Amino acid sequence: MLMSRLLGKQLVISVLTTLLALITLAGIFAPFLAPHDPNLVDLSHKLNSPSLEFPLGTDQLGRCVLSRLLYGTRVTLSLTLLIVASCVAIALIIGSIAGYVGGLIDNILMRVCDTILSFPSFILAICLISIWGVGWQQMVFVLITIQSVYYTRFIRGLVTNLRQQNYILAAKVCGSSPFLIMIRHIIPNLLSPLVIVVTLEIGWVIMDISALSFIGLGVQSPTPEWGAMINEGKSFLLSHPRLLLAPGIMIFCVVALFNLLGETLGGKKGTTKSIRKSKKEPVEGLGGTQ
Amino acid sequence: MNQKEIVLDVKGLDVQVHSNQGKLQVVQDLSFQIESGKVLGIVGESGCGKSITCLAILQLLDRVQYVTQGSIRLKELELTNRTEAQLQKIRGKEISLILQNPMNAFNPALTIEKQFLETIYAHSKLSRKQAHDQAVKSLDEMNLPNPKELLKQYPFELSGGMLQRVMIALSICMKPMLLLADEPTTALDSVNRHHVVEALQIIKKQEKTAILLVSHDLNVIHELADEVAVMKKGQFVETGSVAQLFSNPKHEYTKLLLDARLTTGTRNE
Amino acid sequence: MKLFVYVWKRLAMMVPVILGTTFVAFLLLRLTPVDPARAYLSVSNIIPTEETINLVRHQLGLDQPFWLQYVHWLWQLCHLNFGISFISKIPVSQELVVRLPVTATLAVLSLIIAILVSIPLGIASALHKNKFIDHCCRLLAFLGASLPQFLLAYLLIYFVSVKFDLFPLQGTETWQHFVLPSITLALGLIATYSRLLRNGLLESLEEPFVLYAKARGLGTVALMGRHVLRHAIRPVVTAAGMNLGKLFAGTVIVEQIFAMPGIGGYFLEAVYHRDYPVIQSFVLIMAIVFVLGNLIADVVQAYLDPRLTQQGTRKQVE
Repeated sequence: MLMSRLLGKQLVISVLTTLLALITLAGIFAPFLAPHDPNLVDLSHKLNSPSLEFPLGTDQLGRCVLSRLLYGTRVTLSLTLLIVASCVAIALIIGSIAGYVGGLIDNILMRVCDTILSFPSFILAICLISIWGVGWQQMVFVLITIQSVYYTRFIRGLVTNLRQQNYILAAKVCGSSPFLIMIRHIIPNLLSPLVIVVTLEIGWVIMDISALSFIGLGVQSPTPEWGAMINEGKSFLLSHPRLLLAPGIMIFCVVALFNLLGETLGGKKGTTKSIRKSKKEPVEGLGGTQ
Repeated sequence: MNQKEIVLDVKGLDVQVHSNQGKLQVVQDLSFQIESGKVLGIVGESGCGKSITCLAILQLLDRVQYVTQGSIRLKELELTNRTEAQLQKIRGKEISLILQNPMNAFNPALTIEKQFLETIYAHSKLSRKQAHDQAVKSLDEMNLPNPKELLKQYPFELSGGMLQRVMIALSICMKPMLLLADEPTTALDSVNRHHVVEALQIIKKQEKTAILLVSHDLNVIHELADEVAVMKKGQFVETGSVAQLFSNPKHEYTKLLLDARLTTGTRNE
Repeated sequence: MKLFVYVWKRLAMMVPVILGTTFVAFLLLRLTPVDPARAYLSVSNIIPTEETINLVRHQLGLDQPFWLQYVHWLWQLCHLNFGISFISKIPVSQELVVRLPVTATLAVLSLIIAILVSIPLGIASALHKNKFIDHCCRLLAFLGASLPQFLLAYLLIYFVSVKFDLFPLQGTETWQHFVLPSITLALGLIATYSRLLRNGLLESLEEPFVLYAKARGLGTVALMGRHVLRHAIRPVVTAAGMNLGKLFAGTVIVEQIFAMPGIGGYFLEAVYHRDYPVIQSFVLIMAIVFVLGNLIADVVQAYLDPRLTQQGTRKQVE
């Protein structure tokens, strides 16, 4: 906030977006950028210090840390994209129907959502994973289930609000079909608040993925994933802290960038407050702060 | 009669609000005096600076946001350059305030008794028993029914009219020299308005307290005030005794206010 | 007196919620993709054949009708019998007796630390709005939102324990062992609470009753304590109540890192091996802790704002 006041919001937004785009590109082009195969075990090179050949050194199995980080970006970002996109799609359908139709369906649906939302999401996530089993597919499924509840609630609130606007009434009077009203008038108006929420939520999703993978309930080794990498490196905290620090710094930077971007965007549109209010607590999420 | 009776003496009071949009003069060059046992009524439309004047006298305006100039004397004491600790001793003891909306002026989480007691403790060394008796006594003086039960209740359990009278009782329980009543009847229905006016009349007659009565209700001013000042955009446009001002208004704005009152008065009847 | 009635009513309201939770916990485990009997066999290293499966199904009561199973399980729960672990073949309750105190100590300790630290921090940043301390708190809140807990834990271990050798690393022998894990859990809470308190304070200072209290000449301590803080702390109380459950869940991560023998590690082990009785118990404990946390928060709220109990009794009259 202070930063955007000093530098101007537009500039901050462009800098943040550029940085995030660079990280994303690094993830996409990981096969070309990575100096080594991320899963190539070479015990003769284990726990090497950073060198020209291995810019960030190697881990306990002689795998190149930099390559694993780059591929990890890929894994994390694609899982995040999958989760967020599914949530938004589910929420757009259910949320806008509930919000637009209203009545009994809406009531029942929102009661269910409220009940689920009243439980801390981390408890829900680990409980659901414990029941459905361990693995990245299950983790993605569980996170989609939990997150889409929140998104549905959010979109439903927006749609209910929009529905009462006069221009929607005008469109109805003109005889537009509900479907057309939805596509032409409601969904475009959902986009800008949705973008802010998604940006803020991406940070949490990344933290969730890494936290669940860290405790071994998510992405399993040897797949390069930041949380799992920290878990693998934890025995070398004292001798080779870089094995933890490298993925740790990546998680922190990406999450922080998304959070900053979300805050700045929210401040610009002046909607952060209403978004925050629609959540039960200002800081809600899995891995980070309990 | 002589000068000793002058309780409040305000000279050249100026208040400016500093906001993001710049400075705004809300009170300009006000000067007035109130003698003990007398009531000065200030009338004027909403937002003309009446409430700000009350808060300025109590030195309760935020010093960053508001810039105050001029002199405010309580008897011989200049209030404008007191420290916060000195002001705390004066507020509630020498000068009391009655606020417009009694429903949110009391802390909803504390019983009436607790709010009485904390005020009494802040200004005296009375024991719990004595303080309690003092509270009962001042509620009694306001003709409030069953004071002992009343003390045990929470503000939200009482009606607005009741609360307003409780607030008056609370403000006079330390026997202040000066009472600032900021729209004391605005939020009330006519029956309760009558009770409040009665209560203020008792204070005026029995306690010899000087009262600054801020209101846009001319009926109340007419019943209570000795002197009236008409305020518009932070300035007094006309001052005078009640009889003179109501029967022979000089300023256009005063005439306008009186006309408005007449029309609403007839409509009510 | 009214508060007392209120507490009883809230306790009574808890019963159906807990009962509902037990049902959901039970139902969910019947919806798992893996048959508990097979899970039992695989953990016990017995080759699953038709015969052994049927035997285990009978042993676990899985051949009985659903409702009967549920009632039986519930009846056992009433006797504090949480079943027998598939892995260790030891009753779950025996493990819980040892492990629950560790987790509970950790969670409650972090909550206490968080509240004790965030109250002065919140007050300071409200009083010095948009000054240095306020910006520091804002930065802390931002870090709290962006730094994963497990990373924070390792950073603390590395810098506090290893570099300066201030606190012991792992285990639960002395009180010092609880310092770092509690700080890890508390830091995020401090960030949240101090912001909540700051905003609450700034809002309360605008309340008319605070103005009136000032006008009555109350001293700073009485004014801030009885009027401003009491009003402003209410969102923090709600958050803290909700966080008790979250803290218990958060210990899953922290216990792993600091090698503390709490219920978190026990649960994780159970998840890997599909040790259903343990999972069931954990889900149930989480639900109870969560409901309990909310209950405590509600009672404190009712104490802070008597209007809440008033509503309760009014409903009764109607």
